[in-house]
Amino acid sequence: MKSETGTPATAGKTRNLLDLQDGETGRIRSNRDRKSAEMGLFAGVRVTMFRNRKSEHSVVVGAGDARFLVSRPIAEHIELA
Amino acid sequence: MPEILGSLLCDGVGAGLTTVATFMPPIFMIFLCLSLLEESGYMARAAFIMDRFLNRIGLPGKAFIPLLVGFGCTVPALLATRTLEQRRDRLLTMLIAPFMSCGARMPVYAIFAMAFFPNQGNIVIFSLYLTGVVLAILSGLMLHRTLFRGGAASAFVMELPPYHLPALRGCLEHVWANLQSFLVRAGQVILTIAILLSLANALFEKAYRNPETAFAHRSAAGRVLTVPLRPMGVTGDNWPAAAALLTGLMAKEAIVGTLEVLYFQTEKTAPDSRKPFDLRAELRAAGSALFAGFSGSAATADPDRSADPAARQGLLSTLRRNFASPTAAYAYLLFVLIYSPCVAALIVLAREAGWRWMGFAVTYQSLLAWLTATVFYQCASFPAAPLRSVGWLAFVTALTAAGIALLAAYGKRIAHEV
Repeated sequence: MKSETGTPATAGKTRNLLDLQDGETGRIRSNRDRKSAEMGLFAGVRVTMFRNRKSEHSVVVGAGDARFLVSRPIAEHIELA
Repeated sequence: MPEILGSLLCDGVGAGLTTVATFMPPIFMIFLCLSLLEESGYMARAAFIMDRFLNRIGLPGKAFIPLLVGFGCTVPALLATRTLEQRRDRLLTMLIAPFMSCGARMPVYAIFAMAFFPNQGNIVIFSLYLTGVVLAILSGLMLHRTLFRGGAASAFVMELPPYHLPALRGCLEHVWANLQSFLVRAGQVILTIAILLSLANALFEKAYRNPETAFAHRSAAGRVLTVPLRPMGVTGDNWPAAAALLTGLMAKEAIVGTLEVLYFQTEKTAPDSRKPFDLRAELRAAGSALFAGFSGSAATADPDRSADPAARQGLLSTLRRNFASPTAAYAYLLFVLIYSPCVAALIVLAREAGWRWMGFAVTYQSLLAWLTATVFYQCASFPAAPLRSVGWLAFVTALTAAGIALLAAYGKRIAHEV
């Protein structure tokens, strides 16, 4: 599995969940979507991207042993450290 | 026992209970299968795969479950929309789910295929199912861009549970909750409507003491019903076909039975006399139908199944005499496919979405059914009457454009509601 990488944050631009490619991991810094946060994608959790295709409306991420299907509009609100 | 009271108990209460009970087996099986699939973890993955396609018509992937269920029965399909979080998604799914041809329509397709398309019946029936799917997609696209334009595309988060053996007890509890909801909410209204209809019918029969007079009035009323159906190939003499569409609102399987009874009555000069009322026999038949429904032996609900081959052959030839051509028959089938679902589905739709949306669904689907059947019939009969066809097609085009404009305008007004 790839280590915590992904697209590096450029000055003034925060990384979000959609910046992770398949196999990459990241730690959530903040999540403005309450429902996904209550389901397990809250600040401090390390997430792994399993499937991120631009042609698909949602992405598959893992947090611990759980797997989540997150649609892109919500994934944009999940910021990574 | 007074005749009206007997008729109320059997045709009203009995028929109402039978109608409600008829839906219990499919609702039970469909929700049991859905629960098993959901508990096992399969459904979430199926929703992910369908998400890409359904998103083009503004629906999340989870909406495919009610649409799939609609191929069995529209009632549980509408109930299954509760899994969608957004009201907008639920409304749009409820509006397009009835286009998935339910199993109750199959007897109608089968009889007409046997009568008019004996060698291509399978292709004809498949084309009807395909037409329903295509119309669902086109309706979804159109409604997404007009009536539901104000609503944002749904965003969702869903957990993908690991695959595991489902817990039967949990599934059965889920099934019971849905069955109970249907029995209480929809059952009350269906029973009430059945009682009111039987009371109206009994009073009508009583008002005309002479059965011939009653039949003549019924025939005249039926001819009036054929007027809007003439552009799609239903002639004035074929009023039983129009009347059958009305009974089809109670249950789609009733269309074939109604056609059989009314054609028999028109082909004989005098209407058939009613059998003497037997409460025990009617209760026994209701119990048998309920048991047969749970055991699956009445799955197709083919009313012709009990008839002997000679009688069935009589119905087929009667159909061929009354419908002018196979083209008219196929246009009629298109109308049956698309028009308003049965009253049980309408009651559930009203309970889930509100009476206003139910009214819209009935109007939209019936109008679309008329438009589609008319376009097909006029295009197919163009060589025979080109001027008439051009006239009707122009009218249909104008009506469609006006309808879309109206929906777009109304969509702007209700943008904050959906």
